[in-house]
Amino acid sequence: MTDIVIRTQNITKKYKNNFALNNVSINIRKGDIYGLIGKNGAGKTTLLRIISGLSILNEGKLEIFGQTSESDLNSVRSRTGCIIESPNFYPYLSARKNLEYYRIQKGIPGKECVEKALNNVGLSEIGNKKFKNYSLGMKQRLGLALAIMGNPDLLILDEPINGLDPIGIVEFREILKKLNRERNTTIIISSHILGELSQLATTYGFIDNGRLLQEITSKEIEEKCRHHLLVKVNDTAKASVVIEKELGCDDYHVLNDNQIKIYAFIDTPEIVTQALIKNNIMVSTINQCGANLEDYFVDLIGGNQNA
Amino acid sequence: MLNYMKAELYRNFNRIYFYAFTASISFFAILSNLLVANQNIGLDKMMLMSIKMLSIPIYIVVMIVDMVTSEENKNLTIKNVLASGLSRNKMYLSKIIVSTILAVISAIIILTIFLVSSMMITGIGENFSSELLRDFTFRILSAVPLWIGTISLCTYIAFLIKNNTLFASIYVILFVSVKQIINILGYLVSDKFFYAKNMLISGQLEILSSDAAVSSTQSLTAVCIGLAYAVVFSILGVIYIRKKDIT
Repeated sequence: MTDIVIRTQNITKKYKNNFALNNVSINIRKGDIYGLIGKNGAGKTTLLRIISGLSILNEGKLEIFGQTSESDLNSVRSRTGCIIESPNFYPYLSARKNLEYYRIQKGIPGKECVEKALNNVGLSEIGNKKFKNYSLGMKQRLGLALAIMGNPDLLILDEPINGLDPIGIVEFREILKKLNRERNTTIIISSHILGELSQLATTYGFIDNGRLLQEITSKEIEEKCRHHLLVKVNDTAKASVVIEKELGCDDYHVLNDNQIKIYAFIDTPEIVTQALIKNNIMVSTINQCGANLEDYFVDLIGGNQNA
Repeated sequence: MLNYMKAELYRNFNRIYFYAFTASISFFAILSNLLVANQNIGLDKMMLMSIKMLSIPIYIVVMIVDMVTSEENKNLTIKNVLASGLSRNKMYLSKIIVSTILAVISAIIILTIFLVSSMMITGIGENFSSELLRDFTFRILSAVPLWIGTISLCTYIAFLIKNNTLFASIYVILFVSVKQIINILGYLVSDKFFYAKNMLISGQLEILSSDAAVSSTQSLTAVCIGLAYAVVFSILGVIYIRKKDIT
C-alpha cells in the first residue's frame, strides 16, 4: 500500500487564457504537514480547490489515497476535513446546529463528536449563538471545528489562521500538531504567515504564477537556511585541511566554484580569513549567509522572476 | 445522498422560514373561508374555487426552492458538502427531492387547514358529494407531477442564477411571459401555437382547473408532461453542475 496521500501529476487549470495552475505536480506523504507557500494569486487556493473537488482540472491527474476516478475520489474525500477560503455556514443556525447539520450529512455516528469539536476550538460555551453573530475569529474556529470533526485522515486548510487572535493561533497550532502526532493526520496548509508555517510544516511546496517552483522538506530547508560563512578560495582542498586542522572545525561543506560553507565562526570571520591567508590560500570573498523561511521564499520568487 | 437529504430536512425544520411560509399561506386559507362565511358558500363551492387556483403553487415553489437551494449561493455553503465527498449529481438530485418533500408537507398542512376551516366556518354545502371530493382529489393528484416539474425547473434556474432576487424574478417572468407569448402567437400567427401551449406546465394546469370534467387521458398527459419537465431539468441541472467550479 502506497504511503502517498495526495499526488498531482501535471495538473493544469485555465480560466479563459490564463493559467491558474500550470503542470503542477506535488507529492504528499502520509503524516506530512505540507506547507503551500505562494503570493496572492499564485495558485494555492486553486490547487486546494481541485484537491477538495470544488474546481475541475483541465489537464493532469489527481490521486488521493491512491484513488483517481471521480467516484472513488468522492468516496475518499469523506475522509477529509476542509477549510477552503473563508469559513461559510448557515447564518440563521447556531454553531452547534451547523455542526449537527454536517454531522448528519457526513453520516458521523454519535452526537458527542459535535461537542468534542466545539470543545477543541473553544466554542462550546457560545455554541448556541447564531453563526451570523460570530466574529471573524469565531467563524474561523468553527471552520476548524468542522474540518476536524470526525477525525479525518486528511486536512486541507486554506489560510486557516486568518482572523485568529495570537492565542487562537497558538491553540490552532497545538490542535494540528496533536492530530498529526496522535492520529498521523496528513495536513496540507496554505498560509501567508510563514513564521507560523515554519513551526508546523514538515514539507514545503513553493508556488508562483501557477507553477510549482520547488518541493522541499523542512530539514532540507533548514540546511539551506542555516547561518554560515561562505568563503571563496583558490584551493578548496588545501583550505579544508586548514579549516579542520588549524581551526578544529568539521562542520563545513565544500561547494562547486571554489566555495566552502563553514557553519562556525559566523561572528568572527576574521579568524578564518587569517588562518587561510597564513597558509597561503587566497581568499576572494567571505560573507555571512543564512536565512529564514521568509527570506528563502523571497529569494526563490525573486530568483524565478529574474530568471 | 440519504444523509444529505436528512441533513437538509434538519436544517429547514430548524429555522423559522418554513413554518412562517406554511403558516402565512394557511392564514390566507382561513381568511378566505372567513370572508365568505355569510355568503351561502360551503365547502363544495370553496373546493371548486380552489381548483381554479391550481396554478398558484407554481409561484409558491419559488420560496421553497429559495429556502433549499438558492440561499446556498448567498451563504456559499454548498462547497462544504461537496468537499466532504458528496457527488455533484447526488447533491443536485437531493435538492429537488428535498424541495418536493417540503412542498408536499407544506401543501398537506395548508390543504388540511383549508378544508377543515372551510367545513367549520362555512359548512359542507348543499352540493357536496363524494363525486365532488373524488374530482377534487383527482385534479390535485394530476397536478402534483406538474408542480414537481416546476420545482425541477426552478432548481435549475436557482443554480444558473446566483442572485436570489434575480433568480425568482426570471422564474416568475418565464412562467407568466411564455404562456402569454404563445397565446398571442396563437391568436395572431397560427392556431398551432395553442398546441405548444399544451406542452407548458401552465397550459396543463389551465386544463386541470377548467370547469369541464378532466378525462383520464388529460390527467395522464398532465402527469407525463410534469414528469418530463422533472426529468429534463434534472438532467440539464446535473450536466451543468458537473462542469461548474463551486464557489
